[in-house]
Amino acid sequence: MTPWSRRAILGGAAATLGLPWLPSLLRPARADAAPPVRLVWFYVPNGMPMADWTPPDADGAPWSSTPILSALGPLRSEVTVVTGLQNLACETPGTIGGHSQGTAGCLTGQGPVTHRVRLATSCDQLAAKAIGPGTVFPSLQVGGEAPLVPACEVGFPCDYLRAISWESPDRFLPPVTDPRVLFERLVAGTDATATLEERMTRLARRRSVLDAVRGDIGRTRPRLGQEDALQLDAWLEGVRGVELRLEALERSPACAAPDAPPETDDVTERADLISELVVHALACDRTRVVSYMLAQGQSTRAYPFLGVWGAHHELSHHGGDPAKLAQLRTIGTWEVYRFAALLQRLADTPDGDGSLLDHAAVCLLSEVSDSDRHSHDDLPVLLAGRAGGALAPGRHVVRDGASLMGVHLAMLQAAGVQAELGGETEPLGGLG
Amino acid sequence: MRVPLFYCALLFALSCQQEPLVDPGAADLAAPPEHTRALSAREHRSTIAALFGAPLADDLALPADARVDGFDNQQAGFAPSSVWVAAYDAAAEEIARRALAQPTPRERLPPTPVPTLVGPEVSDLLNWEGRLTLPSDGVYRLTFTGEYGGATQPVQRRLMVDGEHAAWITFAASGVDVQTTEVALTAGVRTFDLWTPRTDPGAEVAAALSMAVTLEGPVDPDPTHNPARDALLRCDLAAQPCLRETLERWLPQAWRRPVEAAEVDALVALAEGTLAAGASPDDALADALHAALSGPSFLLHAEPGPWGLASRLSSLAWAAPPDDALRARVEELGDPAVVREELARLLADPRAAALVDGFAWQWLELDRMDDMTPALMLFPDFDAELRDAMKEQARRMLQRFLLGPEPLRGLVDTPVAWVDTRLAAHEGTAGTGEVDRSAGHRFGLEGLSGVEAMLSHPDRTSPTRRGAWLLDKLLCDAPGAPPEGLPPLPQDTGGALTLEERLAQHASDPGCASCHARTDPPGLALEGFDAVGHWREGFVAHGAMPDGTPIESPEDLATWLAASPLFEACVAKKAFTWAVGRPPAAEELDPVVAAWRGTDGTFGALLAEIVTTPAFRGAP
Repeated sequence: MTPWSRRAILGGAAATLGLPWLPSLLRPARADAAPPVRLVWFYVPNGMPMADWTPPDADGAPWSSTPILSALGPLRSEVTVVTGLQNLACETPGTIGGHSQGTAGCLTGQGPVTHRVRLATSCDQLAAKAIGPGTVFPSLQVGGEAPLVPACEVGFPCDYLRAISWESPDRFLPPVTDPRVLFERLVAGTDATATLEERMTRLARRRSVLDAVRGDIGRTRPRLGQEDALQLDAWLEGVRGVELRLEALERSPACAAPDAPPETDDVTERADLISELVVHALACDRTRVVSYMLAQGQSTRAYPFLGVWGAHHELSHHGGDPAKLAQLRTIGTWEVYRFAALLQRLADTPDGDGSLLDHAAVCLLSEVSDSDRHSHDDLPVLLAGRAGGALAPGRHVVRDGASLMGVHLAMLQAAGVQAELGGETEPLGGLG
Repeated sequence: MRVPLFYCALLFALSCQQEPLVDPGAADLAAPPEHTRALSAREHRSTIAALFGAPLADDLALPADARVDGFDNQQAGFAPSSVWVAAYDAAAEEIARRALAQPTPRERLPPTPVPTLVGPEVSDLLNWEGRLTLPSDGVYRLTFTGEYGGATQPVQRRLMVDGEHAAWITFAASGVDVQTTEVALTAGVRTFDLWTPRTDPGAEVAAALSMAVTLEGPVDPDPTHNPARDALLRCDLAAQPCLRETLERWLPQAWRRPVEAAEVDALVALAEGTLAAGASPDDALADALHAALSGPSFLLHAEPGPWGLASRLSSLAWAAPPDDALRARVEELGDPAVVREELARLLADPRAAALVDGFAWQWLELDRMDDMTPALMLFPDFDAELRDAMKEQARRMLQRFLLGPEPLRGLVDTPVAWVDTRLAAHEGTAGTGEVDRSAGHRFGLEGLSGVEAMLSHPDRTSPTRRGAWLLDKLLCDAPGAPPEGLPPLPQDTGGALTLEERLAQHASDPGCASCHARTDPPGLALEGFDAVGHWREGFVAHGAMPDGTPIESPEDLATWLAASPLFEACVAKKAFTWAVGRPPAAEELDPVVAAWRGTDGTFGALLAEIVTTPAFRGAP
């Protein structure tokens, strides 16, 4: 609750300019400060055909191109290939479902449970809690594939395949998968033609509505059991989050609105439009933390525009069939092209004394390794960007048997965040 | 142990031990009857539509619901995240704006040529395709000027808009012909397609020599009223008591319970604050609606007592709030006989179709029909029209057995199903409408070509997938944890083995065999149907159901399923889970099944037993 009365503000709206709190509310970010570190996780489903992925080079050496990684082209010097990582902690004993486990665990290092929605706070949300406050979106979740039909793994709620961001052990954050919806969300409340007075009146009205919702929550709470009452506390936090977003909007520096994305069904175009909007949000400091699921876990998407007619997941059980391996290489290459398109936009966007990519850490990862074995070791991982100097990309880093969580912890560390993730506390060494 | 886990899950995550019908883990969920769950996005849309008499929320982007045990309405899925709260706050703001909006004149498009997507004149000799951006929602007039060659009879074409059927257009067999049609369209980029239907035998040879399409509109008059606003307001908002009167009348409907004076006062105070800040009376009421629609009173099923029971009843049958008739009987709902009567009344209403679109669709995962991608080279007759017919066929069969007077077990063994001309050709049935298909070996749900197709790979059948679906959805016999210590398959197959050989090799291992011995027989009983559900002779299956009964044909399978107490108990478990919002404990399910056995066996009778359990009724 804010200390001052809504009514006083509403009543005094005509004289808003004189209100004492206004300067602090509208204070822009310091222009001379070093750019903040941005963190992006970029998830691709169904693993990779590792023979076409892993560079032959020794640990620490620059990496030679491989059939799939060739898609990174000139960005090679901005990307480190990390091989040998495992995420065995995602395997819940007594359950099956390598995709649910791997997708749920990829940012949490924790295994999912059956019949319930319960996991752990993910690394992007640990980052959001530390470096997100004050931005309009403490974190953004985006995706390139709409939630599909629930052909989910036995016993596991589908949500483990549909989201990688978990703000608490029972609250997952589903990605926005429609570029136009993402656009609407990004520009909501940013009417450049509104006068200061109009904006202040609107903010006061929105706050009064939120207060009324708080009242409803307060009256409902005593009627509920203990567990449900705790969920209403989370609801209150969510209401506060909406309020903070409205305040942050008023405080954040003016930023040219992005172009409205065109309506399109084209999978490639949609994925790149999402990237464009993400980069816009990062450039405007609307957000500093993003998770991007290029497709959902165990994706069954077909890629007819690449000449791949079969479903991705079914193909991924290639059984050594060279024709299927070739198609998986095609999909994997397309996925890395999408990652490269995001990186290129970051590299092309000036930020402080360099580019956005210079001040970002961008991790590509998947829920499983070789798509036929579907195991959680030897995972395909890329780490791009310089994170303001904390990372020195362009090398092959071999860490056989080390935890994937070490990469996330290194990203968090680059942003000044110490954390524990799936029992791990040590950032992966040798990335700087 | 990682690798063996995967191999047992080779084709679809399956494993080798039988999971008991009632999950032991469900017992601690049963605890005291709590009913708190959120409206699913699906319920939210239909509740808003019922409340305002207009589908104000249908196009709003809401976050995907948690899917626990396959259903979007489970108590275990209630966990309001920051994204959820923000999305429903934004939705409420938009709904309030739409509800109070005054109609405004729409932007119109003068007659405009629709540019073709490919080529300057005709995008394709058989199929014309074009795209245009429309300024407003409304009815548009399309004019087609075309000439067909090679036709011996009038040429029928389907106009598809964004892939959905919009109208039939018939062109003269020879010469230039001008046809017009009027279609309701929404603003934005629309893709138009003049499509050659497969039902027209002569159509394949008729190619367009020329085709020009123009579009204008909206041609319908601008609306003079906003129906949602008319339903909401019965007085002049600018007059003093109107705001309070409106909220006093509307809130109990929205919140599905009596509303205390203090609750009305709080929203009136909110609205008056908005007025005092210089906003209009419309804005003031919009703020009150915004708050009312974004809090737990609207978004949760949390109400104890008879009002909560009424709300859960109508939510079960209609996915919508109680109507006046149910509200009038709320005080009588302490009497189970009244609950049964009201349920029967709700199920007899056309709105009960929501039970098919919600419960049945999720129970059977029929959304998978939207995701079918049969390989076109192998199955050239598969297209969107056939897929839609398959969905309609499933919908009609479910409607018949979930809402009609026949015993539910007919759902798995009825020889009768609805077919249209496409399906009749596809399934090899004589005649259209409700026809007997037993000569084609087609019985019940599992005999629907759409179900067989959605449980196939793009290029081949999957007995394992079909069998797993039958076991999980119809027998609640989903696999549990795999046995320890399964050996992996040899890695180095090098593509030398076919999938079938691999499957056989895989299943020859005693550990894996325990799994496939259960999943494959029911699936193999349907092996006569190919990956799009065509019947093919000569596929004889040998196997046995979980109780040892030999199964060698679709007939055997249907007979076994219809007589199986497992099927009966499974349907009861699924319906209970849907209705109550959590799976039943064994001691909750058994009495329901026993009581249902003593009835006429309809689905309505099952629901009547469920809604009179303490779990559904809750504390009085």
